[in-house]
Amino acid sequence: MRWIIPAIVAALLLQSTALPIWLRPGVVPDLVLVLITLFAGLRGWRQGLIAGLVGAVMESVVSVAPLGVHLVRLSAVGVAAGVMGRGFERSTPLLAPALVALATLGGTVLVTLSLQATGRIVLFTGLSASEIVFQMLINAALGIGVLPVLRYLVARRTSPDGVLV
Amino acid sequence: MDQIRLGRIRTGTDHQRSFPIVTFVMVVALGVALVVFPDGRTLVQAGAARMLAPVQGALAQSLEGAGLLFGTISRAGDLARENQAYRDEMRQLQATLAQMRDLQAENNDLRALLGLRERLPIGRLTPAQIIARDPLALIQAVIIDRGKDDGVDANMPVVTDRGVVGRTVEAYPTSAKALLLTDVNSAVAARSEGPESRASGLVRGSGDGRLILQYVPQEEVLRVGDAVLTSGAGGNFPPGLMIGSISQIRQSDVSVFQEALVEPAVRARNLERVYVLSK
Repeated sequence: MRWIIPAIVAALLLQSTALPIWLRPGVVPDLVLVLITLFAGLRGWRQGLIAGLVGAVMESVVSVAPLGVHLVRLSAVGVAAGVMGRGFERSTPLLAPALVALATLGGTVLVTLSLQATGRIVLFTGLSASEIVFQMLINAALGIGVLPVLRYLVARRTSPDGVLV
Repeated sequence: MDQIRLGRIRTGTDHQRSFPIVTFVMVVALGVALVVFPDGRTLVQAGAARMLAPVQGALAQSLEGAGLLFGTISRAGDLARENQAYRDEMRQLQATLAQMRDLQAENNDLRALLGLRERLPIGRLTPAQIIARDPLALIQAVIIDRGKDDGVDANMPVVTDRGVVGRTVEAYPTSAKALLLTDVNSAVAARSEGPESRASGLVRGSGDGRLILQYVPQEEVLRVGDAVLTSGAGGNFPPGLMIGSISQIRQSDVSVFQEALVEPAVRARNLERVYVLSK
């Protein structure tokens, strides 16, 4: 479990500093969300919730949005992914990217509602809808690549009889 | 006996005895002829030179190549060390060149900033670097590497020599968060600078990288290409800072106000260096 914290920090640093320089806006993947979603799918909703809380605190450091917005988004994603992703490893390989895409959509809805609740204006246009779909696809594609790495890390941290070490 | 002697068939032994003698005589005769007749000597020499020259040339080249090869093999160690030294020097020079380019860019920025200072009576400018961007796609904000320890506080304008970038919203000891002008929740009092009118309004972010000039009375004349500057109303931004230029005008018969789309003077995507304006 402890290894997920530096992983989230590294993902956040990459997402907020390096990727915006290399990639156009709207094409930057949400690394933190992908990581939390897949981690929750592999380890369950409880650990997904903790990872979501950690991710939210980290994100609020580099974001103008209040801490609560990130808490609502990432903790909800962690819990939902942990519940829906049960049996992750034994099901179809399409489950992981589908879960990430759904998490992206759900996370966007939650952020929109949370920002409006704080009094901020949130503007949606046709361009926003296409950007959201594109973001879902990018995150899902990234999830396909990240999942084997996470599986390996989780397997290393679990003893043969299933006890976490 | 004499007839027998005369009719005697010459045997191989007799040939062997006489061949060297004949050859010697011929060579001597040739040598004498070449001495006596210098033209002939020259001809022979020219002929021999013509035959020998290509062979000599090829031999000289191959010997030279062989000499180089052996020399190179014997100096292989020295050559490798020299090569490595040149590579190291080249790397150092490339790094120095990159630094010089960076310094040149900074120099250009500072010269432009000096021009800005001379044009406007504005307060202290604190240079800052953009170190991160907001991870949420619905918010357009950046993190800069200056904070309260450097005199940066909340609600301070963030500018470049080309125009307004945004304003700080939160300040910490060593960093600050700045909301870009293109964010939907950004607003700044502005006026247009056209040949026919100076209309006042409010510039807000449109969320897609552009700005909207709103609340301009219908009777005011707006033209595409007019510059839009800060008006100073509201107190946060000093007057006269460049915001952008009008790209499209939206008028409606049923509305009291007209709007205009404004292309920002500063594109935030590739921005690295900014300045925080403190009073």
